[in-house]
Amino acid sequence: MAELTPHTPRLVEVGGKQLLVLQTETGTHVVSAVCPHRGAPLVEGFVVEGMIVCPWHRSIFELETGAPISGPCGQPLAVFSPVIQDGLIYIESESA
Amino acid sequence: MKYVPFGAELEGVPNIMVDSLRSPDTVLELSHWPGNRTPAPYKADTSTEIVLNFLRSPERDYYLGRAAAVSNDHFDIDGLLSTWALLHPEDALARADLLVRAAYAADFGTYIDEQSIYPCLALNAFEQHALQPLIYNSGWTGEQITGYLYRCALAMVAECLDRPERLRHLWAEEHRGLRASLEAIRTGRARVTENTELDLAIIESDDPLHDYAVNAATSCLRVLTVVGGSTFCFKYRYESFVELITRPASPRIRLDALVEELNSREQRPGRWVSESVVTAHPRLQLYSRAGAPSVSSITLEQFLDTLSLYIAEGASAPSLQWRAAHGWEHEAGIPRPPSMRKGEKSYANQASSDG
Repeated sequence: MAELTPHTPRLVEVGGKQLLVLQTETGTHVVSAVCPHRGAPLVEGFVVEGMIVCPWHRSIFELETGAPISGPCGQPLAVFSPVIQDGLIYIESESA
Repeated sequence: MKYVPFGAELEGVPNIMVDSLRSPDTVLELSHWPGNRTPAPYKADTSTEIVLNFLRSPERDYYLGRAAAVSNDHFDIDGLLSTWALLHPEDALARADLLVRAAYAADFGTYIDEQSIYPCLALNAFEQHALQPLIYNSGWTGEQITGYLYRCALAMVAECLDRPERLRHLWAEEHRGLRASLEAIRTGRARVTENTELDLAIIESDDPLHDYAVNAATSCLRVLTVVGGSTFCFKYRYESFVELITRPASPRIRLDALVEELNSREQRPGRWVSESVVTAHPRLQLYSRAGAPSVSSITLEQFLDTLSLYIAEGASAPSLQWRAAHGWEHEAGIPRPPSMRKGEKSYANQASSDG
């Protein structure tokens, strides 16, 4: 947790998958690092108002649920439920 | 010649890179991206037209003999048509006029005519309805997704060029929306005002318009859309990112100070954000929990005055300006395009070393 900068996505690899960990005013979020539209690296996107914006085609996803809010991507972004304990962030391995 | 996805599979394979920048094994680059090394005789506004120029050139057989693969580091229609043209030279040359118009329409997001818009809509609809549902939860990397999209969509190009009506059930709704937007502009229900001195078009409408209709309504490369009088979106068109051959492009003015000013004035929930001018088609708009662009408290008159003044001042301040040029990708904070990342840490390595 201490390594996170608010509103700045941090790229990690868990179980062979690339994920982003983000801290925003709506909490700590763990989401897929790849846009389900055309595979853009979301670590290069930006976070605003509890949403992450894809850097390539501006698909906007709600961080809490992964739901697509606007833009060309009709598919949701994969999200994972983090558990925070002793300053560390855990997610269930099968969910990643 | 075969398509090989960008990434590990392409390493060591002599290739022709289309619509993106060279990798170490590239023997020929056919791209309109800024910083490209496309030979001058082939240059054109779209990568597809560049490929067609190459296919008509006397050097064609020499390069086709040296390259074993064609590749591209991202998926879009111009990249797809470029790749398909290299894989099917005679079929492509036989459809050259349509290919050029379809690539232009798709890449610059503009309406030219019905014949060329159908393949764009059909290919986009095929991708959206048939291909994208499989991506969600696939766990694929960006490169794997790009490879999957190319492999599937390449098989559909000829069909979408020659018989796009067969997929009409997938794109009819978007086409109706596009026609309605074109009609709104034609009849004056949507108002188009151009300030040619600032290269700025203002397009006001009651409802959101299709991007292709908006871009077809003006040759200005700076476009402000205003929906319902108080929802603003300012954008720099893609033409001012690539190396445009047929006309000069005005520079992009960096918008950071303007964003600061808009945020200090905004009374409604949300935050004004501008994407870096060193991205393909950056926008300035208000983001709120409802999405973007969101309704602003700033009046149209205030917004226009502020934007116009900012652009006018930026036009005489070289430090605020950006134009496509060699070395553009080295600007601070700008992610390098995937095809230029070879030799750098991969995302996976980066993640591992980050622990």
